[in-house]
Amino acid sequence: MESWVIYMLTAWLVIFAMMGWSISRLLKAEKQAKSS
Amino acid sequence: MEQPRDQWATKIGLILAMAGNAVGLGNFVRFPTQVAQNGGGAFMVPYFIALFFLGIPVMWVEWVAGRYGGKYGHGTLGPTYYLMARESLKPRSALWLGVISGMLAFSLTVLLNSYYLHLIGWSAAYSWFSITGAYFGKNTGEFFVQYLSNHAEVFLFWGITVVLLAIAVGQGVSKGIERWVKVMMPLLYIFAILMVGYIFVLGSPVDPNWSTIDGFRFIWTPNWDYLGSHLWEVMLAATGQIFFTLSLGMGIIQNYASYLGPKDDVALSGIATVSLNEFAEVVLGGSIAIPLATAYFTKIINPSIVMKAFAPSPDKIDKTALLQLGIPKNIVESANLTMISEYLNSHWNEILQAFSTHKDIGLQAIGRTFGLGFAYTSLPNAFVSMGDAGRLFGALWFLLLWFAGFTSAIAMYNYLTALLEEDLNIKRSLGTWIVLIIYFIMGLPVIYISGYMDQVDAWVSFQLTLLALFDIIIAVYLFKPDNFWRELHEGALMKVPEWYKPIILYIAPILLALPLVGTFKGFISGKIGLAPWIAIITMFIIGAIESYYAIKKKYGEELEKNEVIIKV
Repeated sequence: MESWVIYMLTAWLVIFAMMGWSISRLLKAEKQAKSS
Repeated sequence: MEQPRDQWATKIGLILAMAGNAVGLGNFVRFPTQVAQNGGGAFMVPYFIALFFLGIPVMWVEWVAGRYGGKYGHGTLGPTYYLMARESLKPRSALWLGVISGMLAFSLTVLLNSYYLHLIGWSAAYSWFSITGAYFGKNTGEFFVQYLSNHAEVFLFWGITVVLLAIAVGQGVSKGIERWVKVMMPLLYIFAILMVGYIFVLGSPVDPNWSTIDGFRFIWTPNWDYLGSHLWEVMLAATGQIFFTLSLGMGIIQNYASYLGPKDDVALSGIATVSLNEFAEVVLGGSIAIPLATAYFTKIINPSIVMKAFAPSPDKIDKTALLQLGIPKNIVESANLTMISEYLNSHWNEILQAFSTHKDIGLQAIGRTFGLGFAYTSLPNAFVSMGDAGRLFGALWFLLLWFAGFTSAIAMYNYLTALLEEDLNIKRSLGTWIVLIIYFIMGLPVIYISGYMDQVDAWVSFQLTLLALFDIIIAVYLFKPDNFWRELHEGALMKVPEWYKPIILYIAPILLALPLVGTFKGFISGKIGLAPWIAIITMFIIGAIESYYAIKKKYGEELEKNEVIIKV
C-alpha cells in the first residue's frame, strides 16, 4: 500500500473515531437526562 | 419584566444546528480551492496543525463565551465580551473592548455575507443548469466564466436566496433552524458519501493519464518542497480555512451557545461540532472536487486559463510554472504575453502532456483562475458522464450544496437579527427585513465591481483571525484563565486534558498574532481598493455605534459609577 493511502486512511479514521465518540457520548447523556 | 430566552429543544438538535452552521460551502467549495491553490499535500500539514492548536481551543473559548453571555440574556458579542472583560478591568475600560468586539463581529458577518450569499446563489444556478442540461457538452471552465458575465442571471439566483433566507430566519431559533437542519444535514451527508463512492470507482473517464486517484494522491502526499518555499503563505491559508470552516471568529458560535442552559455541556459539544465539520470537510469535501478536477482535467483547462493563472500581466508571470510546462526559456523570459499565448495555442498537446507529469501545476492553474469557482468547474463533468440521469443527480447535488450554504447563512442571519432584537428591541419580523435590505445593498458591488469579492474575502480572513485573538484575550485572559477553565468544565460531559491549558494560553495566541502582524502591512498599502474600504469602514461605524448603545442601555448605571453592579 502506498504511504499516502496510509496517511489518508489514518486521518479519516481519527476524524471518524472523534465524531463517533463525541456524538455517541452526547446521545447517551441526553438519553440519561430524559430518563431521570 | 424580560421574557425568558428561547432554549434548544434537544442537545442533538443543537449539535446538528451547529454542524449545519459549520458545514457549508466552506467544506465543499472553499476547502478544495485552498488545497488546489496551496500545493495539495503541502496544505494539509499546516491545516491539521491549525486544527489542533487553534480550531479546537478557539471553539471551546467561543462556546464558553456564548453560554456565559446567555446567562445575562445576551447572544451578541459586544455585551458578552464587556461582561467577561469586566472580571479584570473597570467597567469603563471593559466597555471599549466590548464595543470593539461587537463592531468586529457585526462588520464581519455583514461583509462575509456580501459575497457568501453569491456563492450560495451559484449553487442554486447550477442546480437549474443541471436540470436544463445547460453545461452538458461544453467546456465547464468556459461555461463558468460565461455564467459570471451574465449579471442578470447571477442577480436572480442570489436575490432568490436572500429572500428565502429572510423567510427562514423569521421563523425563530429552535423551530426554524432545527427543523430545516434535521432534514438537510443527513441528506447532504448521504448524498456526499454516495458521490465519494462513485468517484472512487470512476477511474480515468477521459484520458488514461488523468484519474480520480491522482487527485487523492495530490491531497495526501506531503509536498515538503512546496511547503518549504511557500511556508508563510500556506500557513496563512490553512489558518484562515480552519476559522472559515468552523465558523469561528464571527460571533456565530457564541450566539448559538447563548441559547444553552447554564449547566449544559460545552466541552464535548465543541468537539462534536469540530468532528462533524471535519468529517464533511476532509473526508467528504476533500474527496469530491479535486479528484473530479484531475479526472476531467482536459475538459476544464484551455490555453486562456493557463494564461490567466500563470501570465495574467507582464509583471505577474509565474516563470517556474511556465518553464515546467515546457515553454522555452527565451519566451518566458521575454514576458511577452502574446508570444506565450501563441506558444500555448500552437503546442497545446505538448502542454497537456507536460501537465500530466506536473498535475499539481494543473490543479493550481484551475484554482488560481476560478478561485471559489473551482468546484463549479469540476463537479458538473461527473454529472455529464452519467448521461440523462446526471441531470437529476446534478440538480440534487447542487440543491444540497445550496442547502449546506443556506444553513450556514441562517446562522449568520440569525446573529444579526438577534443583535437587533436583543440589543435594540427591534421585533424579529422587522429585524429580518432590515437585515435583508443591508444584505442587498452590500451584495450589489460583488456583481458590478470587478475584484471586489476577492478583496473583501482577503480582508475577512484577516478579521476572522483578529476576532479569534480577541476571543482569547477577553474570554480567557481578562475573564481570568481559572474562571475560563472552570466554566469550560461546568456541566461538561468530558474532561479536557490539562495539557490543553498551555496550548490555549500561549501557543494559540502566538499562532494567531503572527499572521496578523505579517499581513497587516499589505492591507494598508493598497491590497484593498476604495469600494471595499468604504464598505468595511461603514460597517465598523455602524457596528461600533450599535455595540456601544447595547452595552450602555443595560449597564448604564454601572458604567456611570464605574463599578460592577449587575452580577448573576
